[in-house]
Amino acid sequence: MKKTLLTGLIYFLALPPLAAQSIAGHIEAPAAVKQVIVYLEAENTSRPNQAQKIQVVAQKDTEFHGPLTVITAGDTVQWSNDESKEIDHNIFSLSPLTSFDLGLGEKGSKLEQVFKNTGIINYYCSVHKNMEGKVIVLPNRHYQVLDRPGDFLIDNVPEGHWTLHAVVLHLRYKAEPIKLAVGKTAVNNLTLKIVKK
Amino acid sequence: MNYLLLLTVLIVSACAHAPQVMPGKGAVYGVLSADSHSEFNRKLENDTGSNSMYGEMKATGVKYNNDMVNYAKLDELYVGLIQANLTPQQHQLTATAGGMSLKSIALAVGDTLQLRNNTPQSQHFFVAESPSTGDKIQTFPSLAAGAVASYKIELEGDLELLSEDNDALKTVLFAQKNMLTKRVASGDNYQFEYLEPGSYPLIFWYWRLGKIQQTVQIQAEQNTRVDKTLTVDNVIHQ
Repeated sequence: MKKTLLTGLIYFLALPPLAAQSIAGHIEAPAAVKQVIVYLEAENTSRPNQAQKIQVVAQKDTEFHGPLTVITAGDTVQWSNDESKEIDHNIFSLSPLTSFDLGLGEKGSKLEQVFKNTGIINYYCSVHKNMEGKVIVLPNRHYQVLDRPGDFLIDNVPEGHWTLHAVVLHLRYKAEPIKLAVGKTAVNNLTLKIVKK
Repeated sequence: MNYLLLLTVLIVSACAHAPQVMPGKGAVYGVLSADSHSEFNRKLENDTGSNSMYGEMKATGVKYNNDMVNYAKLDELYVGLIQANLTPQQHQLTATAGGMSLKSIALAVGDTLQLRNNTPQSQHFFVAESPSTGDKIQTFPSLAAGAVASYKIELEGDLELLSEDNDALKTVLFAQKNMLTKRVASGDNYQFEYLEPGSYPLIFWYWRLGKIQQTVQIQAEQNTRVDKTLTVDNVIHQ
């Protein structure tokens, strides 16, 4: 047993380290565009092994905190009922990407949903009219959420061929994707343009 | 005697009115409603806790507070009947500084939206596919403040009518080919008359609850009744 572990450790240490670089640049967009999520998509579509995470969204004062959740495919969103009073919430989505009805959650409850498909998913509470939220499911963890277009920096991007993209919440606009190769040095001064569809 | 009269009026108003029977034609009619999640209704019936929201509701006799979706008062439920050779319909919509006159419209591809801009600024309206379903858009010419214009809807499916210039101006659209639609309030009657005998898809929709589709068989000289209640659980688990 010890020998196997030792052999495995030696093999692991002998592997050449995977280079990881940063990708930096600027989002150029019209004034109407506000929140954008800049992200990288690997040219090789095979999904890397990445630890799944649980992202918590609080429900308090009959609102979702926060209303926008960005995760990676395979992650779980957990809705935590943090109301101070005995108020129940329901979480549901009609999205063709992931439709679900998690039933009613009492004060203190935690309801969960796994998201496997990438895309934008709107969800609601069927009890309270102002409770609406969005989950944006991305292919990997190489992304940055920007409250408004500006400079971006994505760290620890492995070597390989990637496409730089952005989710634009204003539906009149889209990003013009950029194909790029990540090698031994950082990639700087990129300009990702947001244009009208 | 007066009570008897009142009871009769109440019973009659609670019933769906059957359309007149026409030679060689049929009709479909019924009542469309929306309701809370079945778990919510069950808890409201069984929960006796004085601290819970259900206990408060029972004590006050008010089922829906101001911050809750009042399913009994929803007034934008739609029924759509898919049929061939449909004449395009026109739907009215007004934009004001406070928002759109309707939150939602179900319509046929090829129908027109007559849009009145009662905001103080010109607006560039456009229709976009819901981000979950696609990224096509349809743009319209600028609509000056106070002006009215008619726009033909060319996209299909779950859509949003939006303004480039004002985020508050938004109407959810549901467009299907050859769909004749009726808008009703929760608990109201709908009817489609003078139909040729045959099989028709019938769609019930509320923008926040989604849709239920079923097929209805129309027979000559017969009225077919289809009542439907839209709830989260019966839409998602249909």
